[in-house]
Amino acid sequence: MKEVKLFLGPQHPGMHGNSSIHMYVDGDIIKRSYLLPGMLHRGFEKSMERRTWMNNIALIPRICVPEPDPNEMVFALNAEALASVEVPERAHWIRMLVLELARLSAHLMAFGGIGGPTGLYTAMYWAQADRDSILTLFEEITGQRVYHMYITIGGVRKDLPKGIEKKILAFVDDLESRLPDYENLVLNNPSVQARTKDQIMLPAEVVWELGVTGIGMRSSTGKAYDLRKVTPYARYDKVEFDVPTATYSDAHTRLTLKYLEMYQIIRIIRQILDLMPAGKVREKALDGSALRWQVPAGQVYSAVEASRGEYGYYTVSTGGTMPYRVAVRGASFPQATLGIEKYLPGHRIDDAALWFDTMGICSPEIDR
Amino acid sequence: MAIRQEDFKKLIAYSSVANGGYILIGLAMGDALSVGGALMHILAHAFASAAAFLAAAAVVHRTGTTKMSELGGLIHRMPLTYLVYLIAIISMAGIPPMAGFISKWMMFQSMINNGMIFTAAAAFFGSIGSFLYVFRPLSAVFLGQLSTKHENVKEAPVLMMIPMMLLSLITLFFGVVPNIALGVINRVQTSLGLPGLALEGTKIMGSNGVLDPTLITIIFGVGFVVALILFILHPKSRKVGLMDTYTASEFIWTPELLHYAHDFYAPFERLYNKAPRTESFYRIIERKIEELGRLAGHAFFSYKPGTVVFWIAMVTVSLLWGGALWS
Amino acid sequence: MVINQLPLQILTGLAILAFAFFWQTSLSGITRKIVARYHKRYGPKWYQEFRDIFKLMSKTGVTHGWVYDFGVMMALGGIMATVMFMPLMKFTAFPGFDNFFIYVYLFAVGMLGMAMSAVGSGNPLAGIGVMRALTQMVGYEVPFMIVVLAIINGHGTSSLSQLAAIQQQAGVLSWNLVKMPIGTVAAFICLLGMLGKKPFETFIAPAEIASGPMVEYGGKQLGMLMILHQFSIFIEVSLFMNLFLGGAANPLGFALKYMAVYVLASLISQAMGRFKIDQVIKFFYKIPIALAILQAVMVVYLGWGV
Repeated sequence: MKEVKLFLGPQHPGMHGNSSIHMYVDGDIIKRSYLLPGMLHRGFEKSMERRTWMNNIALIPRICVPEPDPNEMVFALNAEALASVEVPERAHWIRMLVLELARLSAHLMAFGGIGGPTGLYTAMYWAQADRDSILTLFEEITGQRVYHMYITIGGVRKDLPKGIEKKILAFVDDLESRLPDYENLVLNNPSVQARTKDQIMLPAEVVWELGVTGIGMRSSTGKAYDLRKVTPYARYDKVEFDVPTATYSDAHTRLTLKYLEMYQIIRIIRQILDLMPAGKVREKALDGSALRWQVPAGQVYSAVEASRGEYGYYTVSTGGTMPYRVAVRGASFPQATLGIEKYLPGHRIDDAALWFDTMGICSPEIDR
Repeated sequence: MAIRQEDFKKLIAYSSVANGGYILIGLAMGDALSVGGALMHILAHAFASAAAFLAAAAVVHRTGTTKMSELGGLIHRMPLTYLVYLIAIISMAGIPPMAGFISKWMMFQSMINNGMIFTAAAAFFGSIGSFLYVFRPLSAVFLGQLSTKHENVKEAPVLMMIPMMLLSLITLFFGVVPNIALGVINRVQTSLGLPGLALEGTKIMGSNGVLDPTLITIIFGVGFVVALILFILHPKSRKVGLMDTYTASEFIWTPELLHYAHDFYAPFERLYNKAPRTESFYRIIERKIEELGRLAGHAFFSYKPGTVVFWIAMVTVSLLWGGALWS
Repeated sequence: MVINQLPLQILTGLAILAFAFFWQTSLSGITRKIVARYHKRYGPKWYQEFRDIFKLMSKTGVTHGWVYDFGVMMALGGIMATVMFMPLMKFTAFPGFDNFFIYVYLFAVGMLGMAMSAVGSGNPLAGIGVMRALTQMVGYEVPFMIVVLAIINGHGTSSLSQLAAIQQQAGVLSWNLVKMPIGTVAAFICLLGMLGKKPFETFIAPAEIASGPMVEYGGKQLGMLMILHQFSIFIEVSLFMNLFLGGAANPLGFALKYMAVYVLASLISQAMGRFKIDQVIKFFYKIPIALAILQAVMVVYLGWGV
């Protein structure tokens, strides 16, 4: 038999999340591979149809584990569009703050997470230590570390606690002063460069074929397609930031873009804390009990820029107390399903885990 | 080249080429230890290679194929053949307590003594590289998953087993007490006019160190006994089937898909893919010899009666009057 | 070998074995704490490795057949035999017989045993891991042996305790580290390869081949493999110490030199990722081998550094 069947399976030290890749390997080159998803299928889209509109806010952060806030944001945007709810000014800014902090924590985890497949565990530990500080900030703001349930229909659940601005600024200053260390450890490290430079390419044709968004698209086509600039939501048009791009997409470039975006996130956070107005944070979207609130009929699609790409919900309402249908567009769905079948073969088994990591695949949002 | 073979008889054949190279180095250096080492290596290599080829023949006899990617897991059906092969490769790789170690040690001693850096580098590379190619048939043919085609393979027949085991025992014996063989080699060397080897009891005196193979074997035995005690004292393990192995909690049912044998050393081979091949050189020589043979065939063995009569006449003339014609 | 001295020598050897085990395992735990500070965390207690080995040995494991068990025992037996030959401060169990090549080849018995039992478990990932380990061995052994060739040629003896004694005669300045610095650097890089530390951790590679050879081990076989790992670290670091740092005459010197080598190797490895296996070979056949050959030429033809 010329081929061996190997599994980058669910129970594997190199797997992110919980999916299974079946690989047919000849020597050490992968000849054929396919993804076997479904191990993280928790039935969210159906569950959303069985819960009232307000109830769903508590359910949906769990769709994407490393970065739960875009879920709440797009759901709230959809419901507010259907029910014509005006969100107060301060709530927009707080939403932006929470989204950017979540984005920063996801970028840190992905950037340090390159330590798993390449063996540079130091980066992983440092990044997780910083992410831990962000989670502590989240605990102060929202009461929870990972799944916040903070952005709701009509605004945010409650106002920021006193003194949080100073803490956030202190953290951000500290992180920014240490980011050059990260660059030295990961991006300028010859062994990591040997693994990632000129490997795991993402050509522009593949981007257009699969529909890759986020860093994958920006690093390969050179287009600064960031939803925060193209269709700004929540006052992103009032803050200044750059969107780093590149035209040659190997794994090293994608890592560099992640790193550069961290600087931009810190810049946005500083501007938010400067420009945030005072005021109330939540508009009452309904009279009476939330258990009997009916949202007018209609269909709407909203998307935000998550750390991995365009993340959107398509909501259909028939005027009931529960949504009729919510479809989730996971940001890394195309790369994981068709990408693995068509573009992973030809790589070596050493690169399979690295491919999975640098394409930004997040298993929970594929299976939902 | 042995590393890239898919057919294990060819692999063992190429290993003989490598060993021949060692013998040549040993004889060429000319001092006592190296010639002794080379002669010992001839002995050790003869036994080990013969045993390896016999083991290969036993496998072919029972399964009918020499391609390593189709075999696998034969240890569960032919354990004695496996043991013979194991002892043979331990000797070929030059690992104590087998005979191959003694000869390699002696040759390395004189290489170091004479300060021949580049020869030594090549010899080290060959020695370590030999681990690679001897391990491959072991892992691809005997270990790994047993294919369903070979479920009913039996052990090699008794008449094949007896010579194999004999060769293994001899290899082991000369590894533990080599001085018997070295005594004979000593006499050969002194009769050729070279200085003799310094032997004392069970020790061999090298130019910069002393080797005592019996001691090494005894200590290895002590180590093994300690490990065995450690093993037995602790809870007994549960036996599971061969397919019941880590597959990242996925399911697989074909043993052939779980056996890693084809293109075993793929990364290593990719490194020297672009270099010119010795195989093509051999093939050119092969073709030239074939042409020569064909030429001879045309000249001497043709169907034309005239040519045949001509040659018969020539041969008769030279037999009867060749002596007179020559002088 | 004198027959009536043999039992005493074996007992000395077993004592060296016990000391090596306790020393190296404790040092492993202490090094884990040092490395953890590098990672911005605290690290486990210093006796964590003992706990791991004890827990593993007392668990009921799984076995795949006789070659799986036999290979582990053969490997551990070979490595234990190598440790018994190692000179330790003033104690040598078998004086005069601690030849350098014995270490290299008895070590190879250990590797062969482990390779046999790993592949005998029937898992292809173990086969891939063993393939990588053997390929890596081709990389690091050749430069190391060339440097040692230079040393043996220069000093005229391949006995480890004699080499250590020669270096101790004139103090620090007669260490091979000082007299043959280029060779020491090449040998240190090869030491990183031998210890299996990053960037040469290719044959374990948890994220790629799920720990390679160790994928199918558990229970007492894994415990024995951990003991084997501790012993092999002891052999390699002691070898480096005796060849280049002048051995050790007293416990304090031994402790300091050993810790210096091992902790330095661990810290360097934490700042690097993992190479792919062909990058490992390409690396070893560029710089370390050039340095090793340079050093050998210097010693053999020019007579420097002796």
